[in-house]
Amino acid sequence: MADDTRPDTDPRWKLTPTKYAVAAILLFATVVPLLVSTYDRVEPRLFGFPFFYWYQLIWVFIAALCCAAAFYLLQRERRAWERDHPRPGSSDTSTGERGSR
Amino acid sequence: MNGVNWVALIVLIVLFALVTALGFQAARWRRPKNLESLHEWGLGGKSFGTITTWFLLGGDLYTAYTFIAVPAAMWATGAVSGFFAVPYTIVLYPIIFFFLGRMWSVAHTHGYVTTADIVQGRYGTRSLSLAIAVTGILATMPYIALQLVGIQAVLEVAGVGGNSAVARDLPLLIAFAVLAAYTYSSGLRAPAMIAFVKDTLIYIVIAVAVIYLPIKLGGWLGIFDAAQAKMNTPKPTPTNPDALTGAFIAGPGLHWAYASLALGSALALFMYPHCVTATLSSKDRTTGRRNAMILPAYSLLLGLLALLGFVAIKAKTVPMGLDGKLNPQLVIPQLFEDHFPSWFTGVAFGAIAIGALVPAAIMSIAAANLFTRNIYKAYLKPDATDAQEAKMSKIVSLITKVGALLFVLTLDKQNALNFQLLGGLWILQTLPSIVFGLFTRWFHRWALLAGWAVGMVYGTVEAYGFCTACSTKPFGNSLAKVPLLGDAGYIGLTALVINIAVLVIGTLILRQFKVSNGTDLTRQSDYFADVGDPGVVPVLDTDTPLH
Repeated sequence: MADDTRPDTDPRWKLTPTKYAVAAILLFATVVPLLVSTYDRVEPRLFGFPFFYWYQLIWVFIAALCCAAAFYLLQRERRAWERDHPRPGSSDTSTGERGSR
Repeated sequence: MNGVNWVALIVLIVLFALVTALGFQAARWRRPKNLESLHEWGLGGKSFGTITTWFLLGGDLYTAYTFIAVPAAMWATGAVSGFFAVPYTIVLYPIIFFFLGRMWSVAHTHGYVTTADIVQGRYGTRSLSLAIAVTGILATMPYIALQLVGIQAVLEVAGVGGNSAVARDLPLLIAFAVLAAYTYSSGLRAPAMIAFVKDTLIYIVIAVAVIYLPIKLGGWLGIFDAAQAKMNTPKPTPTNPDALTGAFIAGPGLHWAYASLALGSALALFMYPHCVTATLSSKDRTTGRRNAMILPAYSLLLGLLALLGFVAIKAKTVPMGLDGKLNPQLVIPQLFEDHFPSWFTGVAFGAIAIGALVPAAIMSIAAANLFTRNIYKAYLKPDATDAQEAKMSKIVSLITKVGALLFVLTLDKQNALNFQLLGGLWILQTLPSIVFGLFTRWFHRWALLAGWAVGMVYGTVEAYGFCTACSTKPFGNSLAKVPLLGDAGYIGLTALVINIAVLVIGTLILRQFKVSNGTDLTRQSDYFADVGDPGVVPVLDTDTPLH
């Protein structure tokens, strides 16, 4: 099989605005917690915790929110795809069981 | 040393026995017709939903790494060597979002179970998938070794062991024997079931520890002050007379070390055979991603656990081994023994020991699956029956643990965290082959192999003893000066960058000469398939021939 010239280019491989948005959100949540110079200090303290420590612990929640946003965006795009491309052999793929996932 | 803590030891043994009984019971959970197959022994039937997957993944994250190695590193040398685990588990989830869905889809369309399967399907190149399989097994060994160190630490503080050469490693051999017997008989079902119990126990213990201890010791402010005082105490080394004990916060010059340890560990985690198995065992495409939203709950507890290392500084815990030497790995068990009644200490010890045992079992099973599927069946005995495969996996899971034992016995145990970083160094070199292929076929198979080889050699040589920051050799430290950058950084990540550089240059050359890039068995639509699509195997089928 000649790989590079294969005709079956699935449209879902194309980059869509949703995918750019998701990538941006995820990159934000990956890069910012690693910018150590932005939080490498002791003050201000919170409940005795130096900034260095409580800032990173707060990022646990920010990262979870970012992942949730990315999840929501990807699910929305996938539902739209499934609405436009019903699966062979199943009549109601866009509602009910799949919608509740 | 204060001798054997009988109450704690008995509680520990009782908990252990209960969990073991439960483990054997679990073999009957969703009982299959026949346990004598790789499918059932090694993959637990592959029908796990969000909750079970969460616990299984939690089992991979909450290990002796979390409650022995990280706090020990915090206690000994502070933030840079220990607290990086927090950003590590934070950036982990956004990263897995990028590729987990595609990996699930292609695996379930083609019945792939291991990372080497995925690479084999994408490039049809046996040597490349062999490299992935061998690396997976090798990298798992130091990670299992870390678990053995954890169990050993608990037993040693409880008073099992001594100062003679034989007695010193006795707890380790006990830990090894229990783990081996356990995995051999029950396979993946037992750790999956026990993971529920394990996590419940751990949550209780952690909750009590992180609430009660700071109150008793006068609050977090005092704890951080004590840690700061310890870290800023001069501790000259031969190479650096101005050296301090450790880093209270990362500090200038160590930013890249901190960030690269976190990023490297995060990139490495999902390349490990056991993590891939856990995520692929979920029943639909989004389970893994849904988990990425709720798994950060683990990170918060991990951060608080890491800080128990600082709590121990304030509490003036002396982690004295039975051989009369200071051993940082003992600091958390010792902290519990000093501050809690014996029975609760026993519960905590049980939680830690079981918490090390479960992931060690999962890891050795995953490594054994990798061997059976991608080496034994691919090269040695293509017509092996199910029963032969299961038998082979059981034996290899034993061999993997012997390898882990060798790591513990030959390497310096003072910095157990380094075991995990050593495994990460190796497993990271498989990332381009596994992940890049999920997005593009541009990268060339021989360039992938060359990049892998260069990354492995550079990383191993550097970590073995040529690194500038190493105080103990071999494999004493995972930080080394980064070429061209000057600051210290995680060797594994540096090796990955070199790996990718070789990969890109190699690909450009090979494409120039139009060298064949292997046979791709996958189609683009495979990367988006979900359960219910035609061709998607709801339960991964290990019998599908690959080679």
